[in-house]
Parts: sequence; C-alpha cells; structure tokens
Amino acid sequence: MSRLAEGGLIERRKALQFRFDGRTYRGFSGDTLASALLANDVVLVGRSFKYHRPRGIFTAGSDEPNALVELRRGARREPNTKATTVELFDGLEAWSQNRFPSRAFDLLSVNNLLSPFLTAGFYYKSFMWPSSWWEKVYEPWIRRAAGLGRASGEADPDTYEKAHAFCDVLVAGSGPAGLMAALSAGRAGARVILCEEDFLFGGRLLSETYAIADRPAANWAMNAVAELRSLSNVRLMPRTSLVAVYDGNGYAALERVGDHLAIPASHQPRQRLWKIVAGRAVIATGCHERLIAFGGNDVPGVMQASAIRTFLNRHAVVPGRSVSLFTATDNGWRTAADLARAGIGVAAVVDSRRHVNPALVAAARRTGARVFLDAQVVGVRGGKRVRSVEISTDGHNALTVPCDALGVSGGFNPALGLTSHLGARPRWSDAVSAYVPDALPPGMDVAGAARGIFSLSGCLADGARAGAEAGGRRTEVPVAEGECSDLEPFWRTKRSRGKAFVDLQNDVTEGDVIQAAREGFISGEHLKRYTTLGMATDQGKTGAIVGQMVLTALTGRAPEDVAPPIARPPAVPVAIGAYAGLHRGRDFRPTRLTAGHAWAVERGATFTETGQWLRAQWFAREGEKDWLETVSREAAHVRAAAGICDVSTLGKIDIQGRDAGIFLDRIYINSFSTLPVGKARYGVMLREDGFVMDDGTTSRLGEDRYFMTTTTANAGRVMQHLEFCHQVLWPELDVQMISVTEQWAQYAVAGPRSRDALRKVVDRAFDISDAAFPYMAAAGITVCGGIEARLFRISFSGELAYELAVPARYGDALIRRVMDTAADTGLAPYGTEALSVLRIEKGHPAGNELNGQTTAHDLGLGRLMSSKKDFIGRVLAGRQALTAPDRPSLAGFKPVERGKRMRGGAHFFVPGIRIEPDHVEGHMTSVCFSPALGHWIGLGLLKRGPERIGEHLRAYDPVRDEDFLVEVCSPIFVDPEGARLRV
Amino acid sequence: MGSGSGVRARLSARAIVAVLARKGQEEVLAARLGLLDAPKRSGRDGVTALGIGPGRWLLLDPSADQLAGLTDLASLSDQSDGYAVFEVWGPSVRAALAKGVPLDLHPAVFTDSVAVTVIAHIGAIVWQSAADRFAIAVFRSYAGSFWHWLCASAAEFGLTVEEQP
Repeated sequence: MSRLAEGGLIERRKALQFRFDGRTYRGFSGDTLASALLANDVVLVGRSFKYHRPRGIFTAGSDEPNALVELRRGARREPNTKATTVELFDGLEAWSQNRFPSRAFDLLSVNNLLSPFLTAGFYYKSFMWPSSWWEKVYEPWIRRAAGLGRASGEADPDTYEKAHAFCDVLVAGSGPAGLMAALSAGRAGARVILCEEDFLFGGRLLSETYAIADRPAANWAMNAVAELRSLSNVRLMPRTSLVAVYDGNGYAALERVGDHLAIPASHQPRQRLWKIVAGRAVIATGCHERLIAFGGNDVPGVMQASAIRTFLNRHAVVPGRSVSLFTATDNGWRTAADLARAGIGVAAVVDSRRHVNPALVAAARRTGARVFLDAQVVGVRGGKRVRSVEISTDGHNALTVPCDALGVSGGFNPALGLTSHLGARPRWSDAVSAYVPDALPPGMDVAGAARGIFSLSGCLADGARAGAEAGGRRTEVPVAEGECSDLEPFWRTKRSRGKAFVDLQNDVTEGDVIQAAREGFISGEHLKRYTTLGMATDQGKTGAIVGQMVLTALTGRAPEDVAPPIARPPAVPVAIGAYAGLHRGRDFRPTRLTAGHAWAVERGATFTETGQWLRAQWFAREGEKDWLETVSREAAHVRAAAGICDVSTLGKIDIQGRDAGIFLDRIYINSFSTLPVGKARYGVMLREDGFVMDDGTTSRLGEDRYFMTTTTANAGRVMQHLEFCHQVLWPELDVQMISVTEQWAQYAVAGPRSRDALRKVVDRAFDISDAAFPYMAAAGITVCGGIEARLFRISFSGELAYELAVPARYGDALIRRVMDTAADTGLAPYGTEALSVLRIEKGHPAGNELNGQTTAHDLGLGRLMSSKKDFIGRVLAGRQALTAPDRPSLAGFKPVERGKRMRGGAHFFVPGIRIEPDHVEGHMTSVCFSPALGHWIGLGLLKRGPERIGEHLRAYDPVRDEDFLVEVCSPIFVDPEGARLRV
Repeated sequence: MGSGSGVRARLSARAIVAVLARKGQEEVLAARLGLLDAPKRSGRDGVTALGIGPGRWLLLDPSADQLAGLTDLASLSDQSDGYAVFEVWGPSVRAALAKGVPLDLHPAVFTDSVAVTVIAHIGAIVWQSAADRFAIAVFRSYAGSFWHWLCASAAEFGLTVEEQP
C-alpha cells in the first residue's frame, strides 16, 4: 500500500471497494479512481494508442492523457473515461483498455518495435495499395490495433436532462481566484453561480500545503465555501464543468449528477447539461502543468510534479518510494519539499535552469536529494515502471540515478480554452512563457492562473479584482505564504535516449514533429492534422504546446511568430446523451394528437407521422391480409356508402378585418373578395418566386371574416407567410389573423350516404339538403343539441362530402356519437392512405406534387390565376423558365399491362431512347391501387403531359429495378364531370 | 415519482378569447379593457389579459358584456379549446421548470411577465397566475408531450396532481 498513515482529504472511515481489471481493491471516500489505484500500487493502467506502450497515471485532473479506462459494465460501459476524474464509489468497476490480451502482456506492443515504420503519416503512405485492401484488410486491422476503448453497443439505460440558469456572475473554477471572485460578488448580493468540475470545492488549494491567513490552504478554502453556502444568492455547483461559451452571454455547463454513483438516484439523470445566461463570467479554471519531451517520458511513474502533490497532499498517496524531479520551474522544487516533509525519499532534483533560487536548492540538499542544475533527464529506464533516470549535465555523458517515480514540470499552460470559443485568440507572453488570454468575449473576464498569474497571492488578489469588477464588492485579500514561482521555458531534451513524447494520448513523438517539419508541414494546424498532435479526449492540454514549440524552434521562428491555438467547444468531453436530454427515441420531438386520437386507438388504427402529428393511416379489420386490402376496402366504401376521416390536422386560420378580402386576393392566385358569405372556395397560393406554396379551401363566414385551411405540412409556413405579408408588405391593411388549428376538431364525412350520416348529429334547425346547403356551402350550425359547429360542403374525394368542425373539447364525443348514431348509413372510418387513394383517383395534387418545384400551370391549375389583380408570385410566375411549354406538368398514368404494380419515383422515357439522365421526360409522383378502376394508377409530372394523352412511355425505376410501359391519361380517373359532388 | 410534493400541478379550464386590435385601435382598446400593450399580465374587473404580441392579447374568463362592446375595436377569436393550461406550483417548482423553460423565473425578475416561449420544443405561453404559481398554456395537441416533460422534470422532487376545482 502506498497510502500514508494520516493526512489528506479522504474519509478513512468510509472505505470503498472497487474492481480494476477484475481484481478487487480498497479505497476511501474522497479518492479518485487514479488515487485509489496508486494507493494500491497499480502504476501500469493501460496501453498507448499506437505503440501499445505501458502507460501510467500522468496527471490528477481532466488534462489526463494516459489513464483512460472503461468504466462500469454492460449497457452502462463508458470507454475513454479519465481515471483521474472518476470519483471513487463503492462497487466501481473499471477495465484498462487498448491492451491485448492483458495490460501487463500486450501482443501488439510489437508495434513499439515496428515504430520506425509507424511514424506520422504512416497510414496515409503505407495503405495506398492495393486499394481494394483498404476496406477488407487494412482498416479493420488498424481499428483493432489502435483504439480507445469500446462503446457498450447497447442503449444507455440512464436519463439525461437539460436545464437553464441565470445569474449576474458566473464563476468557473473554485481555486484561489475563483473563490475570491465568488466571495467578492456574493457578499455584494449579486446572484452568483460557482461551477467546479471536481466533487470538492477549492481547486488547487486542496492539493497544497501553503498557508492562507495563517491557516492551511485547504481549511481556508473550506471556510470560504461555507460562507458562500450561507449566502442565498450564491449557487454552488460541484461536479460541474463549464464546457462552452456562446453568443449573448450564454454558457454551457455539464453537471455530473449521478456519475459518482453506480446507478443514478431514483428520478435523477446521470448528467444534466445547463445553459447558463450570465451578466458576467469569471473564468478561473487554473492551468495545466506541461510535460517536457525527453526519452521515456511516458514510462509509468512519470507524472506532473503538481499531480504528485495532489496525490500526496489531497489523497495521502505516495506515487513512489524514491522520487526524482525534472523541472524548469520552481514548482518542481515545491514537490520535492512536500515529499521530503512527508518522509518520502527524494532521489534527485534536475533543473534545466542554470540559476535557481538558492534557498530552494539549499532546502532540497538538506533532504538528501542530489541536485543537478543546468541539467537534463535524457532517458528513463524501466518498462512497466520507472527504475531509474539518466541525467546529463553536458548533453553527452549520462549518470543513472535509481528512483521509482519522476515528477516533471516544464511550465504551465493557462486553461484558457473557454476564452477562444467565440474565436478570440490568446497571445504569447514571454513573461510566463505561455499563451495568455488577450481579447475576450463581451462579459467575460479571466482570473488567476488561467490568466497566467501563477503565484498563490497573485491568484487570490486577481480573483478579488475580477469579482469586484463583475459588480462585486472590494474584498480584503487574505495574506498567503510567500512562494517561489519562477520558470524558464524548457521544451525538449537535446539528446534523448528512446522515444520522447509530445502527445502521450496520440503517441506523437518529438521525432514525428521533426519529420513533419522536414516534409513541409510547418504550420501548427498542418502539424496537428498530420501527426494528430493535440487531438482526442485530453486535447493535448499537457503536451500539444511542447510539440508546437519544437516545430517553432525547428523552423527558426519565435512563439509570437506563429498563430496561437484556439479551442472549440466542448472544453471536456460531453456525452451525446447530455445534448439530447429528454429528447431521444419517441421523445426526439413532441407528438401532436388530435382530439379523436383515443377513439382511433380504440378502433385499432395504425398511425403515421405527418410532421409532429400522428394521423390514423388505416383501420385494419380482422382477416385483412395486408394494408393494401384494408386501404382498398376503406376507399371503395367511401365511394359506395360513407366514410369519416379525421382532418383536424389541417391548418386553420381565422382571418378578420375590413380588408380581409383584399388581403386574401393578394395572397391567393384566385379571387376571394368576391366570395359570397356562406361559401367556400378552393385557393392556391404562390411563393414570391412563382412556385406553388400551398393550397386549401377558404370560406367566408361573415363580411369581415374568413376561415382559411392549409395543408397539414404547410400550416406553420403559411401562417408565417401571412404574418410576413401583413406586417412587412401591407401593414396598411386592416386585417387580423390567428391560428385556430387547435380550437377545432374537424372531420371529413364523404360518400353518397354522408348527408344521411350527418343528419344524425346536425340539429334539426339546420337544413343540409342539396338545395339548402349546396356544393361549396359553408355555415355555422349546431350539432348534438346546441353544440356550436361549422359545416363545409367541400370534397377531396370527389364524392358528396362535408367537413364538420366542433370545438376541440367535443372532438372525441362527436366521432363517437356520429359513429354510433349513423351506423345504419354504413359510416366507416378511413385513414390518410384511403384519403390519398381517393384524391389520386380524382387527380387532386397534394404534397408529392406541391413539391416546391411546380407552378400552378404545372399542376393544371393555371386557369385559376386571375389576370384582374396582383398577387404574391404573379410576376415571377411569368418568367420564361416557368412558362416554358415543355415543363413537366400533371398527367395521369396507367400500366399498359393492367396487372402491373406501379411505383412512385419511376422516371419516364420515350420507348427506344437510351436511358440516361438527359432523356428523362418526367417522373411518377403519386401512385395507388384504385379500387374504382381495379388496377394501379398514378399521377406524375411529364413534359407537355396534358398534350400526350394516349402515348406509351417507359416507366423506369432503377432503385427497384423495374421497367415497363405506361399509358398517359387524364389525371382525373373517376367522375371527370364532377356529377357525384352535386347530389 | 419521488416522495413528497415538491411540485403540484393541475389542469386549469378557462375561457380564453384572443383579442386582436383592429388597425389603429390598439390604444382605444387597451384603455377600454385596462390592457398593457406589452408582454405583461394586465386587465381589470376580474379579467386577466395576457399580452402575446403587439396589439394582441388573450383574455381569460371575459364576460359577455366586456366582449360585446369591442366590435369595431378588435377581432375576437375563441381559443378556449385551443390551449391546455397547466398550473404548477410548490417549493421546487422553479427547479423543475428550469429543465425546460428558458426564462429567468426568479421572483424578482419574472413578476407580471408574460412569455411566449418554447418548452421542450413545444410552443408555450407562461405567466404567473399567483405569486410563485405558474400557468403554462400549450396548444391542445401538445398536452400529452408537455405532460410527459413535466412529469420527467418534476419527478425527482415528487409531483402531486390536483383535481380541477
């Protein structure tokens, strides 16, 4: 065990059991998976991506490149989870990944021996030939060899949700700067949200032995958090990462509500994605310690110097018995001092700098450590764990120092990704040898280490400043223990022995960068794409800049000469489920149900989606062998007796005002101001570009009142169009409009016996005989003893037909009543499919024909276009291309061999002409089996269609491999005189 | 559902009439009924008016008398059946609503406001029917989907459904 006997922020009374690669271990509440593994001397935790090299734990946070595990089992398995961010829970199960067959013995580590061939661009260069091998051989092999864990392959059993929050000041990060900012703003009464990705607040303060206001830093942090908790205007959000910045002061944050539990609590999601709108934001996300490129810098046991302090001080875990440090900063010396204080042997402190604060050197020497200044680690010995380090002071000869862990500190990268989400680039600062934020999005401030301020006292003061500037109160800055925070940039050891990595997660070596430069990839972006430097789950937080700086130096440039990196959201990986929230599966989008839905369900309807609506598609009966039989029966029954169909989904718009008629004249191609009160008329409207937008019937209910209907699909679009026309084009018109789609439940009652059926529910006072209520009549009536209703004598089927509307609350009762009382008329329900059969038989265009590419002429509706008035689309409908005589226009089609089944989408060709795109004469838009005719019929758009009646054409369908002759005919297959409408 | 009653909900059946001002009559109409031409809750004599657009209101439970005098001032359209109105309240009501309502419902911010907004991809009108009590009107056809969202969002706090009075 590498657990210290005392100390740390762990609850020793709360022991937890967990399993890693099938073995059971023990840890404590307050551990991460990483700290618990180290406490159990598990140093080797996985294999690397490309070379399958043994890897350990490199960091103690979300910048971890190596320690990726599969967490949980079964459907809850999550690949690529950073062990350093997994809060330990009882029963946790994790597996190392990317090893075959085991993490200790990995067959594919042969890749390490092949590594001279596996350099940057290897796949691009090597797997070019033969091309047929790519899919069958190369890709599967590469995918097996190089992978990052396995997805569960099952549906995620947990839920996710989204939520909204608002505040005056949003603070990201609860280290010294974040806490001071939150205190300053919170004490002033501002609404504050403090997000912390960790499960404990305090950030870096939890990992340090500094004193603040004469107290240990962690205690000071806990007091500060307690004060914030006591303020009702402050909301503390632990386990929450700020992941994205959007326009309008919008931020996204991911809350891991249930990730620290084996199974989320009842009725709680696993994760919650917050959208936070904040007046001001203070980004206090700290910094990431950088690696140094030297031979063997990936051997398990090599880790950030600051991570060693986190494991030591926060988790009471010792990463080794004898630790060396390789540093270019004072931070490495601080780790040596903390280790020595805990009684851990420090073997050597190697500093690349010539001049180091003598007090640090003296303190290190007192602990018995060997000190090397102006020196470099050139190699690490050990396969699955550090055994010794090789140190060179002159760049040629090396001295071996035995040790079992090596802390590295090459400098610090401010965690400033969030500052660049809206495109702002950071700038290079020579003072801290790092990129620091430059221009910031409106409302955003950056404080502390994220801004390049690396001293504790500096972070406290800067946080207080940021909080005050965000509307807080000037707050006294507590006195922090003095500290050393000097550094000098150091990127790479000159004569490394063995591979020197600049990106541990993607196995990118210093050699790959040199090769990329040699091959001309000298832009940072090219380097990234060519070598994968800085990609994947850690986004190169510890090493990408090292690789970029190696390139910069190789090409003789200074850091300020190259474009600084910018980051895209999300700042840390976010599960797709969190973005979906509740909206997956059936809940992907809302469902709209008509008032008669429950009744249709009871009648065994099969439903189809029309936009968000569910509509009854057909009502199958016992013994019917397929949908076609059902639909044919329903359609035939309408023509023989009577049918009823729920048409509530059609768009309905109440249009009122003195100028309502004029308004409609300008909207429709035909005239409506001349429509008498109590009449309905079919109308067609165009888009501004002259193509047909929508059609439907509009009735005049009063002098100043019309009732418009639209197709179901276009209801919203038409409403928008009308509002636009009124508000923008003709605000001078006195016209008001509002959607009443939801106010009315509406049923089509069609067939020769439809009037008889309606008489059962229409109140006696209303005469609906043909004489009193002729074709195209419209009136307000009452039904079922005084219920307000509207009746329209309109027909889509070509039969005697009506549409009856009642307030939606009566929609369910009405259909039950009419079905009940009109049983003797044979009234039977029909669905949208039969509706479609009936309209195809009548040649009425619908969605397939109103496809946005057809004109009124194309659809045979050109005669409706009034020449006496102006209307939307009139001018552009007259363009040459839209009036060209050989435009495909509506025609009917029958198979020459009548038994053939026709298919929508088939293309028309003149027989004997080669089948090629240039020879297409048109295509079939709608087909159905016509029970009235006893064979398949179709509507289609054919060049000069109406002039070609009787001609035979090939209907060619390459998708279904069909090719047969069809005869062009009138699109009206049934009752061309329209006699059945007027009975 | 979770234990307890962090959130309570009921369906609220109300007469709803859309009142759309005739051209140029916005001010006269507003003065007649005591309306604010703004996204606010207003009205007098027991009528609640919700401003849902310039010159547009929904009147809740208006009397026949109040509507009778509006003939040349406004176009009226009955919407009583067009909306399902949910009322939600309880100690956790804001936490539950935050899961879909993209608005700042803080007591000091959302007071007499009326918001025409979107909740879980569903168009909705939100206002406070009393202090700490929210009314949400959605188009009738969406009632089922909205209810599903509300149950999912309130479940962790416990949801109690109350009968209509």
